[in-house]
Amino acid sequence: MNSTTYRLSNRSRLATSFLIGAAAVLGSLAACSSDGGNPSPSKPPVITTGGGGHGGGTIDGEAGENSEGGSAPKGGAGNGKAGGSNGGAGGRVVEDGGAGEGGQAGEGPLGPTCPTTDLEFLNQPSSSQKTPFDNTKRLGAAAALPPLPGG
Amino acid sequence: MALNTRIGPTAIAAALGLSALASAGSAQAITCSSVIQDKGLTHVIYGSGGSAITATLAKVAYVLSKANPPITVFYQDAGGAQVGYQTLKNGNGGTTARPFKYWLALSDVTGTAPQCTADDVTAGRPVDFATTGGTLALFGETLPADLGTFIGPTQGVNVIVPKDSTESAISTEALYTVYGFGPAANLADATNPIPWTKKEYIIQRASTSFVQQLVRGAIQSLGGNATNFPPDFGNAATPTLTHSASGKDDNQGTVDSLVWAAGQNHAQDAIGFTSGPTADKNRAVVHTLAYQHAGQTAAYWPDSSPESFDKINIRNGQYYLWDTNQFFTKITGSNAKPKLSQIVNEDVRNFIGYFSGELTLPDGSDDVTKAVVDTGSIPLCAMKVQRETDFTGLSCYAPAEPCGCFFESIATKTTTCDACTKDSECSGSTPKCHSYEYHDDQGAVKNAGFCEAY
Repeated sequence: MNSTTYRLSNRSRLATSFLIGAAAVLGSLAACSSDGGNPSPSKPPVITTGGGGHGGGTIDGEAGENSEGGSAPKGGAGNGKAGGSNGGAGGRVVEDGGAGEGGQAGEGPLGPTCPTTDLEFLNQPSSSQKTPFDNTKRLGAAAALPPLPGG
Repeated sequence: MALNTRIGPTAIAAALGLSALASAGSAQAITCSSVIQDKGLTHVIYGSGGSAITATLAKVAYVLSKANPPITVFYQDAGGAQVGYQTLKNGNGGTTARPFKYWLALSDVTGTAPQCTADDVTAGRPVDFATTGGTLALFGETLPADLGTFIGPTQGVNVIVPKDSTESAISTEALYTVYGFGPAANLADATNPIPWTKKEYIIQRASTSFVQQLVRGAIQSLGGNATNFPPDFGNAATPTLTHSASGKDDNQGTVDSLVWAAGQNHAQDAIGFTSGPTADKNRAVVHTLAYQHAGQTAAYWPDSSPESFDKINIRNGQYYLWDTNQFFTKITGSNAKPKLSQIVNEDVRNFIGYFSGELTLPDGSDDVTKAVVDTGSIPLCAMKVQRETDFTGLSCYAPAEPCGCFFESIATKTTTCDACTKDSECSGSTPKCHSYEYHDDQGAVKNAGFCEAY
């Protein structure tokens, strides 16, 4: 198994085109969700997916070089929790006929335990230093959250 | 892979020289146009937003100014995040009151950044992007159809007190009391009452500030009488700019205000809040209070301890006060989940792509990620949770390419992760080797590799 790096390899355009093309096909076949886990502004609930492809490095009419995007080992990797995984989004063909961009980044496998509510996250077991804040001792009557002045 | 753009001693010396010239010129309110012409800058972009991200943006901008091709960022951060966003919509950046900052030398990042204005210092000029610490919903703003939103790194918001304060924690209920009542707080029956009851030492930001609105939202989450907690805490608190060294309302101004209070022998009475990077940068003069959100059984720091920099309690969702930075810029097509490729300005596209980690620098280095970590922000690849909104909807998150070990190695200068150069050196629950290449502040190339779970 090769180590993962984050370098954009200086591959030939032919090789890049081939890999991205493969990503497109495999991504289309494997994807249960075309989202591929791309981080979006609305930050949707996380679903368990396999790693998808990284986008191309440039979008100037020349093909974005493939990083790890949408390759079969990434897009097709399963994980134990969800029992399956989503592939990266397929490559998109740019208008000038060049190779498509790499598939979008997906998400990795989640750990075996994950809180299900916000309060569970806040009170999850921790080895961090902590200190209780006693509202009754520190706030007295104010701990009852009286109406704001003028409210 | 060989790095083709280095930050060598000569470049640094040259940049320092340019910085000195720029700094000297800033006193004369030079225009950014003249800076561009004098320095022969290309790939120039203008931005506006809050100051919570400034420390991180400054270092990223410095890194990008040395990239090949370089990107030069002029950024306006006075007035709060909402003002910055409105500047994008109104096209009035770089006025005398709100000049642009820029970072072409390391000394611009570590010291005072030089400034420049638009050619028309009254009307200002258009900017290419805006950025806020959280979503537009914090400010009641909406997104026009021609703008897209893209996320950046995560940042904490820290409740801070002067270094000499003996206080170590605060709760949401206490924030409601302090910022809702100030001197009018009824602390009857409190056996160990909180000390923050003097309005002049209770420091707030402008209502256009991201950190102000995040704290407000946290208080509102209490419900009941807190539901309509106002955006301005004027009845109970003093504006930051009253004692800000710059005279402006910004994150550093809160620190300045607490330093002022301590100088008045009121360290115990003083309290404020600021961005995590700003708090971290000022640990010599302020300390962060552990924060106990409503329903939480104890108060936690953003880090595993008050002394640490690991941000573990933000990264795993145990610390409540954090949010994810947002970038706004003009796009083509639909702004529902836009892609980088929709961004109109190619330099902005690359800037946001590098900042978010979605694009890799031309030299293949991890310098932007390092810059984000160096300055107290958290790249998406180091997060273990995400939120649906600014305040609710936590869920576990597994980044496609985790960088938690790299994050810890940079942020804390140490890590418990196994070092590696290839997968065969990893085993057990962390079988995958992730390699990194970056430059230290002297420009030397550094390599690192860590075993991660996948």
